[in-house]
Amino acid sequence: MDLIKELKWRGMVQDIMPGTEEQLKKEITSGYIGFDPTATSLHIGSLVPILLLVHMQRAGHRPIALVGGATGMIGDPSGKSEERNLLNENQLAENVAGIKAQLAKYLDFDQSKPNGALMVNNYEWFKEISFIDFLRDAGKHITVNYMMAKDSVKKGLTEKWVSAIQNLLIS
Amino acid sequence: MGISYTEFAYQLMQGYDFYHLFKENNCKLQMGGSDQWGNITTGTEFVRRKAHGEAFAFTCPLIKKADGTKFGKTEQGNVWLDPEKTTPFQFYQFWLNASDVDAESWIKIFTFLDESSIARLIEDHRNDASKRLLQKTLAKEITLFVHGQSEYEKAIETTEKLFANQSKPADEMSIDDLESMAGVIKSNIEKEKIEAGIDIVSLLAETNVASSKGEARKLIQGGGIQLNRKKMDDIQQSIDFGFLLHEKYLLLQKGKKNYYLVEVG
Repeated sequence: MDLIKELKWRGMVQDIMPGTEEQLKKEITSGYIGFDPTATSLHIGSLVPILLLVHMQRAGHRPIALVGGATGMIGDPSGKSEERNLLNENQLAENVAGIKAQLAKYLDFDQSKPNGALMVNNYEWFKEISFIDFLRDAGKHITVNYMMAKDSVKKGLTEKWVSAIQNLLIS
Repeated sequence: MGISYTEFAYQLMQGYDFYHLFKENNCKLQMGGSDQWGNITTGTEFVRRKAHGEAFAFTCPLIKKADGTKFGKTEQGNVWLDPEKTTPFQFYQFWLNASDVDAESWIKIFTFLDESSIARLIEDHRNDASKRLLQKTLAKEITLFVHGQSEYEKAIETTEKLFANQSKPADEMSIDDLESMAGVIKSNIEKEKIEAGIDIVSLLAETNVASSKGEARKLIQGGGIQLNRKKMDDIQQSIDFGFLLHEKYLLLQKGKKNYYLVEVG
């Protein structure tokens, strides 16, 4: 089954990087999606990502579900219009466990198959990285200019400016 | 003002995730909602610069509703996948209530039916939309996927009891019929109040079917309240023991879709 062709007629492809279709035709490919552990359960907003992973597996590729235990501690500026409340570690661990149990229902994790699904939690690798290492090893590769140009950041900045200006006008 | 350094770092962390999975799991693809494109391409950039590798990505459009309201929310809040938080019946109902326009796009996204089957369904549906064939198929397929066969059957059973059988007089429903109506909101009221006779407006307010007596009056005057499947049109109507089903229940309906089972005791 041609994954992209299948997803296109379903209306499930918006942006696609050049070469993606060729890569999927070339070999069994591992692909991932991140899930935010903001609650103990996923809601139907997460069904599309789940279905994308299931389609991947049906097309013979290997799906990886990434639960954002580390990124969940930070909060995605593009996800909400206000900065997310930072979850405490216990709540987060509970949420990660709940979400993992749900995802396990929809994917085949049989590792004897070449496309057996994987579940990972980015807390596992971020907990090992020191702040200095991250700045030296990761931060060096991406410029602030590059990051500032992203819609998610622009949106975060614009919305906060708008609300600040509104507050000024009101006072 | 602006975004904090912490929030700013989020995209760097997400980008690093892709690099990590590329290195450790030979993962070459990331998917996500279209609002994630920026974070995702930071990841492919990471893979290119730090691992000198090639990584790929595509995104899926965000689900929209034709009427402009937010997808996935109901009056009761989020629609969860956890059956403890959103019952399979409520889950099934969410999809069953999709508009015709939404159902045509959602059936492609939320079911695994093939292209020709879906084309046929859409055509049949357009011929007679009142049968709600698309909504029923959509609700069935996604409930089966998320909750499995037996929960789907229970949701259907409850739906039939509530909706398909609407002409069936309430006093013909057995205690079991009433009590097994999963997804119906349960409420209660003290026996003494019914014994003395309570007006319908106070009953609605006390059982939280209406948020206030004022709202209760409006609902009744607008024809939006049924008691035991009979429309209530008199705000003075007194409710006493004579109305009870099996001597302990009142079945209230607000609007078309909200059912309340009030236990007296």
